[in-house]
Amino acid sequence: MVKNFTPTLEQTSRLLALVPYISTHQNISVDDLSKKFGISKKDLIEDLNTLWMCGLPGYTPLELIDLTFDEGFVSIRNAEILQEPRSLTTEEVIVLILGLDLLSKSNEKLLTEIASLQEKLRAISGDIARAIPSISSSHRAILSKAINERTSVKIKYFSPVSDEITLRLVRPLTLESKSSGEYLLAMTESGTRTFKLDRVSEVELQPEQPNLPKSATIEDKSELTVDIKILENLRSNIEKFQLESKATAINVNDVMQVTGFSAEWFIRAAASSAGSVQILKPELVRTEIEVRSAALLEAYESGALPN
Amino acid sequence: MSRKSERLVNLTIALLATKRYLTKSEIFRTLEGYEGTTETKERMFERDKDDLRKLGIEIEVGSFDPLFEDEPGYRIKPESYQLQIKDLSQVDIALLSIAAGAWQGAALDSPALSALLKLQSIGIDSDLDSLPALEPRVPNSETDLAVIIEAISNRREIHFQYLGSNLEVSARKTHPYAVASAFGAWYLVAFDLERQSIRTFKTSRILGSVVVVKPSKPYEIPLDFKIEKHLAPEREIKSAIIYARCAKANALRTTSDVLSSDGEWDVLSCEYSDEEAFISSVLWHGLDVIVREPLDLRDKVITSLQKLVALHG
Repeated sequence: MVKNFTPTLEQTSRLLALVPYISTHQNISVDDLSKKFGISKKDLIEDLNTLWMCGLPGYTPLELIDLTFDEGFVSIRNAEILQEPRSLTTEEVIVLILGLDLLSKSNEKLLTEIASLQEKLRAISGDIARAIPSISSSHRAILSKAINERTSVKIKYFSPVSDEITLRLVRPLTLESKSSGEYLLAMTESGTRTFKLDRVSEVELQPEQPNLPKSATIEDKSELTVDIKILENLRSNIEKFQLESKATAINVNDVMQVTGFSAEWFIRAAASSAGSVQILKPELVRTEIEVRSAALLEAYESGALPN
Repeated sequence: MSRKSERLVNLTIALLATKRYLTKSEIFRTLEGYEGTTETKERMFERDKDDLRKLGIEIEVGSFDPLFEDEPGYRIKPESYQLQIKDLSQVDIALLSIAAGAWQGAALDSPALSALLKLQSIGIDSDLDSLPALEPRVPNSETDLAVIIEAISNRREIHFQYLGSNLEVSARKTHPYAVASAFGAWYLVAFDLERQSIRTFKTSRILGSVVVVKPSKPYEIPLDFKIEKHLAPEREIKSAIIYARCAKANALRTTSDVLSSDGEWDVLSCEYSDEEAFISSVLWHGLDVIVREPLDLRDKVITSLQKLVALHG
């Protein structure tokens, strides 16, 4: 249950946790109790046998904890001293604060309850943990439900590359968590597609089943390799082009190969680097950056808005 | 292992039940499990005290008789042993259970589970049915968050290698104060011992593993420490007027007001604090965004465009 403890300390910690839990869940089955504590039935029985020998000095039946568990159901008496749940550790408080923070943007009606719980927890630990969610917990719950029930949803999705916000009818297949974020893989009219979850701004279950392809087809995306020379702002550019794994080996003016799926993304990403990176290859991407930048310059100089 | 656990549980019970301090000799006389010579018993007792502390149980040391100060006594205050939060409702328990669920399969699912067991031991049923479906999940972290959070909890010094803005690597020695997650990334706020100031580190820029210094002298986190101040440093909010093609420049529109529109182009008033990031965002939008004012911002965009043409022509 708790890591970095010796087996003895782990057992002690569990014994102290078992007493209050059984006290408020009298006649719980050995099965349920072992599952709840994440241990085998055999270990649980050993724990209960140990607890049975514990109590106040004197250790006569009057002082000992009175446990019954021989018929597969556990009950406890005479354990008043250990009956209150133990105090939360700082680690546990941090974990709860962060979890509650992640709920904060999901439901307006719960804000007061969440804030008052946060206040109670921060009174214990201080202001030492904070999470600002980028994904709504209720969106994720709706998507999970749709995946389980194989139903469709309507999502509002922002694509920065095409600079469009669109409404799409999709059938969610899986949610995936990667180091770059969380993704939804879903069936769309044109086959399966991946959506970045933090760009989904609305999710609604869709009662009627649209006609979406039944079997998963591989996303039709051809890879594109781009040669990039990083001239300045090394760290922010390696983060932008996801070259973190090579971070310590990169120097100014090194040419790096980056693989991606969208030429449009490379064009926009290079432009937004404001001249701190140079695209060498492919020709198509390089020229397009030049053409667009020149057209923009002309607009700035002439004062006329571009077509 | 059971015999030692049994002794530790019995020691906890005895020290919790007592209203006054218990002396070592009383403990040895009345508690089961302390056997052997006085020296052996003393050693066992010292180790047991350490073990209970490791489990987060605070043993108070005091003198039970002011006339015999040399004989210290021990006890556990029920207030420090028992759950600190009271008056939780069924909805509170449900919310906390959902919150703990955010760690399922993540770095800290074991403290999440132990916290949950404590809350469920209060004996208040969780009223999940009154809540909407919610599924929080903590963002992934490549750095071992569990190590950092444990170090903060135990007030332990940590050392790590950190990647600077020009990819230079520096060794940092810090007292960790807080962790934060924003927009999918994790941050560590810590007192940098060499730079003698509080710094914010993006954990994805920590190279290799975080080393917890043992033994290290525990430190205090200043009482007036507020995490917010170190996540979003106060910057002047500036504003710019831009032309944006209708239905385009969506990323900029979240912090903008439309001042006017001719059906093809909107005039927007945008707020920003980080000029470099704003220019970068303007350039991302290519032929869909033109900066009108302020002039120095417009000039910087023009300079960047000249650079882009020169580099790619």
